[in-house]
Amino acid sequence: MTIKSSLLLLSLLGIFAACGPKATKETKPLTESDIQLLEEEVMRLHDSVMPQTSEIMRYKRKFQEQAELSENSLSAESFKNAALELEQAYHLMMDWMQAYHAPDPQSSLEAREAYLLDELNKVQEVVDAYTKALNHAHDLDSLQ
Amino acid sequence: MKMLPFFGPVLLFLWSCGSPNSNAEKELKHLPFMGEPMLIQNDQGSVDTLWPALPAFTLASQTGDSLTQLDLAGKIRVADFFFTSCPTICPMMSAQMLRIHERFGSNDQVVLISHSIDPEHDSVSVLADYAEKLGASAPGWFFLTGDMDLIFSLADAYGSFAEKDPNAPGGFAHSGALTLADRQGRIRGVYDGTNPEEVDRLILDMERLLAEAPDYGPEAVPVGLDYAQ
Repeated sequence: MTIKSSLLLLSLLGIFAACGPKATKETKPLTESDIQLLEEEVMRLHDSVMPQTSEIMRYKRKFQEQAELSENSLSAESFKNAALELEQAYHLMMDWMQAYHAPDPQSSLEAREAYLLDELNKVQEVVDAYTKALNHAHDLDSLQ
Repeated sequence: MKMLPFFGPVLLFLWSCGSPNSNAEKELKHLPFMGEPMLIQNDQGSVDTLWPALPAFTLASQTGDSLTQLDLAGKIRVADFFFTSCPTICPMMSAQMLRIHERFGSNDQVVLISHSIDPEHDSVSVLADYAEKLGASAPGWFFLTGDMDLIFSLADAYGSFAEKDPNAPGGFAHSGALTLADRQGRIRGVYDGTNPEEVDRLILDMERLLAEAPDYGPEAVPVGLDYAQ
């Protein structure tokens, strides 16, 4: 073993020694407070878009009326598609809320964490659907 | 004149509440009419001031029967928009509506109406169950479901939903409004249904409306809705 490779081995051992215990320390046990923060984050995401439901439905009605009145089949199709996208976003929100329940406090912290992480993903999908549908609606509306 | 900027809004408020033919102090006890007046030229060539009233509707209530605007004629009403699976503000609003129901539930001049904005999940039986658990009963308090587009159009007419607010998270203020309408269906106040102090004010304003002559103020004209039956 050359001096060079000995030094490299020592350095690697040093790095492992330094990183090992620290990594163990960072894995903190789950607490009620962690679960509460997760639950708040789910609600925060929901609250960030829920008040836009009125705007979603206002655009939906407007585009449906415009689709019926339009003599141009291409623009009628655009209005119909936009109205459908808005309605789907609304249903996604309502279905999510119908299915969502605050986790049972009697269940384990790990089970509640897994449930809330899953809900976080689902509500993010709702947020994305609302944002996308409203962006399309604004664009279509501004073309008129 | 330095005080004008301060007193200006006060004078404007006093002017807007008064009318040329009435005692100013007495008029101040009346609630304002919300919305924009309609100025219509009559057959005699002069102009009549009419006020928009809430539109006609037909929705199903938790009792299984239909409720229409005709059932509300001559009554003052408090309206809100909610849904039974609402995880955040609706329970707070329902708790405040319950306070109002407990106060006025036996008064046949008052009606509370809660419209579900999730009518596909909130069927008549779901609403009946929700009302029973809450301790709410018809005819003092109706929970309504029906055509989704009609309900959202009504929400706009009641001024119940949030307007854009760039300072609020997501760019919108959260809704949760309780709307007070008089015996002729004219909107006389909108209150934050999640704030008990605002609801205290609403209760006082309801007392004022109950004491008001039914024909007070400009003539009401219902604003049409395509979805009304």
